[in-house]
Amino acid sequence: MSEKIKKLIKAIAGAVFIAAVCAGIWYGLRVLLTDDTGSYTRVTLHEFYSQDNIDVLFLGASHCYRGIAPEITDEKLGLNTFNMGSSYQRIDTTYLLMKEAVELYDIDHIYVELSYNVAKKHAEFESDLTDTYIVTDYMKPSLRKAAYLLERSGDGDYANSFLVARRNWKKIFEPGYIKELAEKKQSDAYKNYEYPDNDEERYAGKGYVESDVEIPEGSFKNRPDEQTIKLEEIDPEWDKTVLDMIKFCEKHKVALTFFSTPLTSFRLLCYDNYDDFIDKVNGLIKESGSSTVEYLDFSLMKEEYWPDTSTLFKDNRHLNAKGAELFSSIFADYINGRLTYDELFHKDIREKFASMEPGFYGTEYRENADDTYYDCRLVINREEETKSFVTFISDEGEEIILKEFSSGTEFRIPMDLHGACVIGVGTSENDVQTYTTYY
Amino acid sequence: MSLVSFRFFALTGVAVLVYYLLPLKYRWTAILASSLFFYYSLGSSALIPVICISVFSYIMGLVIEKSDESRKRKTLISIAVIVLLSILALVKLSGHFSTLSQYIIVPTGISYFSLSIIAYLLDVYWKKEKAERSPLRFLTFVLYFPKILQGPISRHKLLGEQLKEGKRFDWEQLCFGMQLVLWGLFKKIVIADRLSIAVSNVYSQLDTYREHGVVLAAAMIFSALQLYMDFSGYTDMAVGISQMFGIELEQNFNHPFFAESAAGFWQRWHMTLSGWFKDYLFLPVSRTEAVKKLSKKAGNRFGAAARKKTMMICSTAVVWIATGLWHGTGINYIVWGIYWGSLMIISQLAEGLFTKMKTALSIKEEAALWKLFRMFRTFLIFVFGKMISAQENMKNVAIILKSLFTKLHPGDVKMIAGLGMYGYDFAIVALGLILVLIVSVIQEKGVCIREQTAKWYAVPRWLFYCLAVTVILLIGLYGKGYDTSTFAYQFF
Repeated sequence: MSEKIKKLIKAIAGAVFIAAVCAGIWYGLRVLLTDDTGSYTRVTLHEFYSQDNIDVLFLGASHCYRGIAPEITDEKLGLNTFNMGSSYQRIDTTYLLMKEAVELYDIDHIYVELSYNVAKKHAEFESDLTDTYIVTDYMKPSLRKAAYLLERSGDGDYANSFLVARRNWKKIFEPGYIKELAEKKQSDAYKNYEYPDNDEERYAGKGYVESDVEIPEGSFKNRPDEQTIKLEEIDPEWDKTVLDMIKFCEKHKVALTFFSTPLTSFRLLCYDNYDDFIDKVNGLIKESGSSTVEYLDFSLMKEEYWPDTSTLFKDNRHLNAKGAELFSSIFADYINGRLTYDELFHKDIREKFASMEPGFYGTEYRENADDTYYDCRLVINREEETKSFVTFISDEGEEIILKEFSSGTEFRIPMDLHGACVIGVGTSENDVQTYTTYY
Repeated sequence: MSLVSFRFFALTGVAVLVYYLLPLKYRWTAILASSLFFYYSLGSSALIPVICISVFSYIMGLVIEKSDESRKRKTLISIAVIVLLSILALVKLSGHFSTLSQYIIVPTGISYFSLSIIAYLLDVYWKKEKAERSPLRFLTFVLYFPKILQGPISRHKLLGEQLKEGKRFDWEQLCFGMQLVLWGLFKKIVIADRLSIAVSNVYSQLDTYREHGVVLAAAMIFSALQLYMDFSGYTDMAVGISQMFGIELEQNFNHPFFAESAAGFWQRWHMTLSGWFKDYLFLPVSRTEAVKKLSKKAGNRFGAAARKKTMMICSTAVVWIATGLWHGTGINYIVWGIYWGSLMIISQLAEGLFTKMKTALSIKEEAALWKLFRMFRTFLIFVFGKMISAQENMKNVAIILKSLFTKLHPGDVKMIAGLGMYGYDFAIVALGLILVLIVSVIQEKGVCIREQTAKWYAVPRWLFYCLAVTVILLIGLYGKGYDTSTFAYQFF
């Protein structure tokens, strides 16, 4: 063996040794400093990589991992389905997971959840990589992952992206934290990838997180931050990635469907023009020229399949366990053809609300400019046909009428009032339903 | 693009790789390309003025060399130096006039490369070196990316030659270079940037701290240490990167806090600037007819010693006013120059008196305690000088001085902990400074630590390097939430 080759072998061995030592040190630091004992995605990705095969894959943000129960879809479809949703999953992270899944498994169909809320925040979250890290931290090392992290990272992010322990470097000076974390990580539950359940929700397997929280009818309260869908706020990169996904799936002969989980009627009425988002996604599919890809917005579901009740939700965007069970079942029925599009869906949101009975869903409120009272609006379907009253019962028992029984939806609550707000809504005085909410 | 950024290190890595892949003769082109890219990334608009200055200087160098006639040569060099100094002055003064600053593009590093170019032209004029034949190689010398932001103020004789000849790959040089970069990075992001949190906290809220002399004293010391760690850290990185190309760059620091006098300090601090002023201002000024005449007059009246001292006083005064102006055109910089110049002049004039005092007090020059006292005194002189230059105006200097003498309450020591640095930051800075001190003491004794570690067995040596990189990457202040994009001497 010539001297040159010997030297080269020595250099390569040295480089491998250095890389291994560095990787070892940083892995050790990550174990010591990074508390991932409460991470859903750690458990989900572990399960994701442990499957024999995935036939149907669901991708998307929290609406996805809280909305689709693979136990139900597995049973109804007779296939292995998997929910690879993660919090605020950006469309490019979805695309990354799609590529990862297609490489690992022989997938028949991918369902990608699209949400206006996440789409709108695509550009806003450009500099915040938390949503990315909660996925990439648990993905297996690969060039694809490295390339994605390089692309996502700004100049100040590279260390945080590639050296996970760096994000928590200050914890190195907290021996108590390190000791406590080490103990947590020594537990069998952590080692066996069991998610520590809490009182309200639990990890129910294959990416699905179910919640017992239930919203009582008419009790939604919301600041009117998002009164209208503003399509111009959606980053063109979001559009591009949707089109790239279509091309990718066509190339790899994987069926692709976009979907949105059902939103509450309260949320839909607050948006005012939700149909614009539906039109946008359908427009993108049309632009791609694909004849196989479709978009299913489950907010368009007819009342006979999806009852108009807030009790299926844990908040105004996410389904609870009851909602997810019903939704998963309906979704599976649609996938296996037991339900057709026309049977299940309205044409648009306008048609949906026009077909529904008048109903009251909650209150929108905002602080008045001089911070003395809240400007409130009752969110009511077919408000022109309804009348309402609002009475406030303060903590001291004093009864104050904020709105006489009349048409119109607006009223004011002085900010210094604390107590129960009784809202009555009906078409006439004999047909009034009351809801109580607290301020 | 910041020097402390992934992009910069990626650029350096690619530049080094391409450099050694190219034939020896053309290796400098890799440096030119990376320098142009780096300079462009700092602000595209500044590239054109720098190229224009380089072209002008390149042509002047050739013309001066070609010219045989002494008077013509003198005229040409005068034009060249005046033009370059005028551009520098215009850029420096533009900050004072908002209407002017709108129309002026400030090329990054102009204070450094202007001096390098002037030195080159004067050396050509004095026939100390030959003019550069290749315009692109000359541009490489001007824009050389490791040193463009804040020096060292390289001489063309050293750097230009090395660029021209190209360097063969040397594994040891590459490793040594990387180690030096790492050491510089440690000084900058582990120590200096931590200290800068406390310093900027105090100096930006002078009204809040004017009643707390102890806090101001701490800020002054932190500020001096920060400047040293920042500036010497940058220089280590610049010299280290050059070493990765096999290029030797001038040293800018030689443990300045071991200096025992103000003059000694400037022989160890920003050495390339001091060297430049000595070679291109002090000596020429001392040889001018006016100074000669004045010195002669003083000599005739007070003796030979007075003649020498007059020459020294005149040249020192000019050099230190110029040094102050080079750092900035604000009144605080002029005062700072006068402060240092006066110290140099007084220490020269009172040399005899000091010697008599030492004899009377039976102080032994070699006594360790005396040496320590002198080092501490020099450090305090530097701390005070740094305080002057760090203030926006002389009013702030007066506020600090007043507080130092009238508001020194020992109880305020606790306030230092509330200057934005956490307990662990203080611990890191203290440990870091101790490490720098140990390394400096060893180096001062003439031991090269890099050569010593190179003798270790490969496994422990590389384990040590891995650990060092990890520590710096883990506890350094960089990335989101920290501003490491600038260096303290970058804007002079």
